[in-house]
Order: sequence, then C-alpha cells, then structure tokens
Amino acid sequence: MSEIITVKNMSKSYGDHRVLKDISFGFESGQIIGLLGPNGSGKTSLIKILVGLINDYTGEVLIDGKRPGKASKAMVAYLPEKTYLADWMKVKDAINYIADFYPDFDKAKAFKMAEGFKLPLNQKAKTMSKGMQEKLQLILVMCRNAKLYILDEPMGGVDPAARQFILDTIMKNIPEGSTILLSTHLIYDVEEIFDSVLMIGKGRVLVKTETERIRAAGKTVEQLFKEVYGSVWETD
Amino acid sequence: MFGKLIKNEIKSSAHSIGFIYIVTAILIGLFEVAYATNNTKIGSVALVLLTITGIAAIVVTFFMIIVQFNKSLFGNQGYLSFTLPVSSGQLLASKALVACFWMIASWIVSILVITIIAFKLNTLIETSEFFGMNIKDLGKLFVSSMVGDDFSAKCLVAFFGALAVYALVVVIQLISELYFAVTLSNTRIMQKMGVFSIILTFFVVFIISSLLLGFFTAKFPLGLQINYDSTLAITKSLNVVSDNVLTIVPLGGIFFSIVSAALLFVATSLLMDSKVNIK
Repeated sequence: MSEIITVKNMSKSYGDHRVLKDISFGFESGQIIGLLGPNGSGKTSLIKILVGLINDYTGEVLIDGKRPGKASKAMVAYLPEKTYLADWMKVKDAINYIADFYPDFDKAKAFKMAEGFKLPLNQKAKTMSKGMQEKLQLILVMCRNAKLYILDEPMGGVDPAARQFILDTIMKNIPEGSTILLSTHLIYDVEEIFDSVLMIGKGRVLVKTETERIRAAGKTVEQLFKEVYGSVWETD
Repeated sequence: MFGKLIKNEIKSSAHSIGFIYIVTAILIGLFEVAYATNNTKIGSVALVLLTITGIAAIVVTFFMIIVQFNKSLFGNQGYLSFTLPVSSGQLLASKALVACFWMIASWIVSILVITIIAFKLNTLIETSEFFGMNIKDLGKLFVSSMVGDDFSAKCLVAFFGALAVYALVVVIQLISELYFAVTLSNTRIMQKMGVFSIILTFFVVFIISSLLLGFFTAKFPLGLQINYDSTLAITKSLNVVSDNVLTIVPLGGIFFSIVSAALLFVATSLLMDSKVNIK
C-alpha cells in the first residue's frame, strides 16, 4: 500500500526557535493515526505544514506523493482547532461554500446532518454558540469523501458527552480506505480507535508505532504516553 | 475555481461593504420624496446625510477592503481560505478584482450623489446661475468645464476613455499597495506591531511608489496627446504647447503604475506562499 503521508528530514523554525527538528516518518493509507504530544510539542505546526498553511520549512513533505499545494488540498479534509467561519455565513452558506470548492463534498448529506444536529440553516455563524460552530465545522469536514482527514484537537474544550458525539460522528462518516490523522491530548477518550500513534515532543518523533504492538506489550496508549513524556520532562 | 472564488468574494464583501450603498439608495429616495413634496425639513436632513454618505462611500469602501482582506486571509478565516484547492495567486487575483469593483463603485456613487445634490439644489436656488437648467444642460456644462466648448464626439470619447483607463490604473495600483502592506504586516516579524504595521507599511510603500512615479514620469515624459481636432499623437513632452491640445495622457506614468502594481502583486503572492503567519 502506498504512503499517504511521507515526511523526510523536515525541520521548521520560528526565528531562532526550532519547533520541528529533522523529523522523518511515513504512514500508509487506510488507518487512524493518533498524533500525540503535550502543548507546544509541535503538533499544530506539523499539521499546518501537512495542510499547506506553512510553507517555509526544510526537508520533504508529501501527501499521497504530492507536495502540499493545490492538488494535495483537494484530497485533504482539515478541521482546525479554531473556528474559521465568517460572521456573515449562515449554516446553508457554509455548506454551499464548501460544496463550491470540493467536488468530493456531499451537499445533501451535509444538509441532512445539519438538520439532525438541530442547526438552523438560516442561523448566522456569529450568533451560534461555540458548540454549534464546532458541529457545523465537523459536518463540513466529514461530508467530504477525502483521502486524508486531518483533525486538530477536535475534542479540545468540550465536555465528555460532546466528545463521544464528535467521535461517533467521525467514525460513522469516515469513508472506507481513507486515513485520519487526529491530534489530541485526550488520549483516554480516543485511544481505542487508533491503529497507529505518532508521539512528538521537543520537536522530535519520540514514538511511531502501531497500537497493536503497544497492547501486545501489555500497555495502553495512555500509559506509554505518560512513560514517554514523563521521561522527556525529567531529562529536560 | 477562479469563478467560484470571485462569486464567493462578491458575496462575502457585499455583507461588509454593501450596507453603505443601501443607505445611500434609501437617502436618495428620501431626498427625492422630500424634494417632490416640498418638505424642506426632511429635505435638509436628507441633504446633509446624503452628502456625508457620498463621502463615506469612498472612505468606508477603502477601509473595508483592507479589513476584509486582512480578516479573510490572515485571521481565523485564513484556515479556510488557505486550505482551499486554489493557488495563492488565484486567491489574491479574485480579491483584487472584487476590491477594484467596489472601489470604482464607491467613486461612481459619490459622483452620482454630488450630481443629484447639484441638480436638485440648482432648481431650488433661484439666484443660482444654473437655475432652470435641466440635467442635459448640466451635463453639457460639466463636459465643457472638463474639455472646453470646442470638442467633437470622437475627441470626447478619447478624453473620457483615457480618464477611465487612468482611473482604473490608479485603483489597481492602490489595491496592490494596500494588499502588499497588509500581507507584509502579517509576517512573523511585523505581526508584533499589530495594526500599526499595516498603516506604517502602507505609507512607506505609498510614498516610495509616488516618488518613483514622479521620477519615472519626469524621466520618460512619453504622452498620448488628445487634440481638439479629434487626432491623437504620441508626444515626448508632457507640456501643453498648442491651443489644439485638449490633454496629454502620461503614458510613462501609466506604464510605471502597471509594472509597479504587477510587481507588488507578485511580491504579495510570494509572501502569502512562504512568509505569512495565520494567527
């Protein structure tokens, strides 16, 4: 199977501060990958590079064999941590907007999901609660038939019931053969769904393994996470 | 994709800029009703508000173009804009085209408002030297104040055609300077200065480009001469030396403006590709 994400000797600095240091890894398609790491570990910078928001890095990054750009953006569905909807956009405007640019977007499904999530089609984004905006953004991402889904902290800042709802929505709507890269620090809630994990810290890849192997060693992902990051902070 | 970018840009900008045109339309209506019913009180209020709106259309459009560009690319909305399957050049071109449209629309609205006020006031003020003139006569007066009395239709078309091209080039250059300033202000180093960096960068770019424009125009005084006898000629001096000359269009200056706008757009696109930092 071909690699959906390939990163070779990639580094990224903000001024004198290097957030990603010569990292290399690759993932085959068709799996759910957990991108794990504490705050400031470089997770969001890595994601921004993969989706083409940051271009001034060194090394090689390929999405399904292509450098992040127009072609890769067409096959990646990205859910950022932030709310990106314009104030004027109503629910229906946001759905129509995404449908305009992504041929793989299922507009009918999006309208149906909005109805199911009790999102009024004529309500403007600026009058919605944060929870409603997050639901809408989740619809916009999960109604695409993308090759790669990159979800940055989709469950950050929401209560446990909402976390389960988000997780269920993701799992129900992921097309077969697609890949999910999900960044989170709430490992306990999601570790069951991961096929592989990538733990990064201090700008380096600390662990890249399949969850089967972690479990075979009699550990949970969360336990491994605590071991890895505990030692990282100790040595610092 | 470019067409879809334009469509969505018009939709988005109409929400922030469109209100000033709706207000202007309402005030024109109010002014017309007050004028027709001889209601001087409402007429006076509408007149003052209409005058303010006529000026505000240009100012508001100018500022909203900056805000809209900054917000949609370098604020949270940037997470959406920059992950669309389009190039940054396409993003920039769509925004510049729509901004150009709004800027020209604001000028047209202002001219329209001034014309309406002038026409209505003229018929109200009996002491006015233009009293009793209809809109056609006023139009003729406007044209003769611009090009004199002794003009042909062909000469008139050439004059206003040149004026339109010149205005378009000025608008495009202004937008290229604004976009460059906003984009440069969103690079990591400049971002620390906040909004101040946009103002500072714009004025620096504006002053440098105005100085270069003056230098270029003086150094290459190539012009298109429009004559009263409907002939056109290329001249190497921008000084009007004959009574037959209606005006001279500074081709050197226009050429410089086009080249400078193109270079600024390219620089903006390169910055968007490599150096900007979305907050």
